[in-house]
Amino acid sequence: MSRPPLSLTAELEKLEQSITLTLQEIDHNFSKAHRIVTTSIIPIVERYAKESEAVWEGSKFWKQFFEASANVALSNYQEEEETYEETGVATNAETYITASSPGNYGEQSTRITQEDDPRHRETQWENIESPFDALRKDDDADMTFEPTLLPATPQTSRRTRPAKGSFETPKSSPFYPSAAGAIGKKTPGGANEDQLLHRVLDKNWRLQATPLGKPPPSRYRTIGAATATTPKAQILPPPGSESPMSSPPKPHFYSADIFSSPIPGFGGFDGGKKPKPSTTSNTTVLAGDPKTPISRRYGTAKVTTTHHHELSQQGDEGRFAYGYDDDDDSDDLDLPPGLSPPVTIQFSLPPSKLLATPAREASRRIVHDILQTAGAADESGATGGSSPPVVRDVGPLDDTF
Amino acid sequence: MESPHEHQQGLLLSRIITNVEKLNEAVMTLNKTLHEINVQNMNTELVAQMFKNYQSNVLFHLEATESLREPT
Repeated sequence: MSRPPLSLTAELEKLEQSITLTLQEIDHNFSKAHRIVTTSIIPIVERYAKESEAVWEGSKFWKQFFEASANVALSNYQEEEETYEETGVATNAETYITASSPGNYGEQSTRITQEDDPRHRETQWENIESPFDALRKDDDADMTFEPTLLPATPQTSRRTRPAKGSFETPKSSPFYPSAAGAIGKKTPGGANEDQLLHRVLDKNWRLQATPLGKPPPSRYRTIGAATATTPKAQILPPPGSESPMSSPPKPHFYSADIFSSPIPGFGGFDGGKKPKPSTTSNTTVLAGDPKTPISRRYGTAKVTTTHHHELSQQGDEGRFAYGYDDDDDSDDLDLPPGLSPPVTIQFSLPPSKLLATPAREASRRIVHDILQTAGAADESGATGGSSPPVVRDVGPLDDTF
Repeated sequence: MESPHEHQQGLLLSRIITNVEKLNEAVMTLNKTLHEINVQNMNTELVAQMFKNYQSNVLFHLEATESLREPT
């Protein structure tokens, strides 16, 4: 460095060499990273996948076992995180914190590189450390997610996770299934009410439990809120509740109420408010349906009638089960929604019989009246005062016979 | 006139870009594999949770009925 021009040239040469060396080092590091990923990590991960598949093969039976025992089908489905999509455009650092999870760290970096505005990029790179640190603190706090961190998702599954060894304490065992035991039971709300299973990156994985078996296809949905619950839950409601689950035995009860004497002490499952309008309307609609299995339904109604006076709540449950089995018949599918077959069929036959005899008698009376007016002798004791209303009522009905 | 350093650095940069692309593909493959594993393990985790719930229920029932015995 004796002379300034030489020193400048040497300095430039030195800088160029250092740049080249740095680039070589970078290249070497990238190639090394690629080699490590391809030769070490991916084979191990593939082996892990194979072992996991073996574990799943072993536990598949037990999943089917539990599904069969609960009569539901459990399935995972993916749900987009809506709040994250909103924050992706807004580039708000705090909202990144709210939507982030430990797995979100890598996703943030990829999303940030997709931002067009370099100003946003800088701010987000500055803020990357803060959610990570915050989440690390959360991990230290036994992996519990605060309600502010997950504003739009239920906390149930995450809350079950820190309850390690909760089954070891006897007092917590009855409460623990209520929180985590929601698996397999879809809540009555929409899809967002499902059990949150996982949060992977910006996706929510939820657990959907669809009831198996052959639930009544349209009846429950038309009567009340169509809740996807297990059929066992439909069989065992409290008798005084007004939930739509108690609707299946209603046709049996009210039809039995018609064929037997009314029970004063029993108000019915809905307080005895609904029976007459619904049943009579259904009767008028389907009174002329000849193809329905009337005799079998009629027998069913009589069975429930005998049980109705004597049995207590257990008997009601038995009737619930009986009514539920009865709902599995295929002929129920042919009916339009909103009409329950036992109600209509049980009412169809007796009113027709009841209406048939007065009609014939009235037709005879009409003939007698006509003969009397024509000058025939008054042989029978038919009263002339009662005949005109009967004639008006029965006249249109007489065409049906 | 092109400097030899510039030429070398250009080559190095192109090599780096190639390596980064390869690494990106490898990481994407790794992510995909891990995602599939995670999805598959969710079912296993579900079974484990159900077993855990079942175990707690059984324990509570046995304690409630006072029929829980020490393991022999």
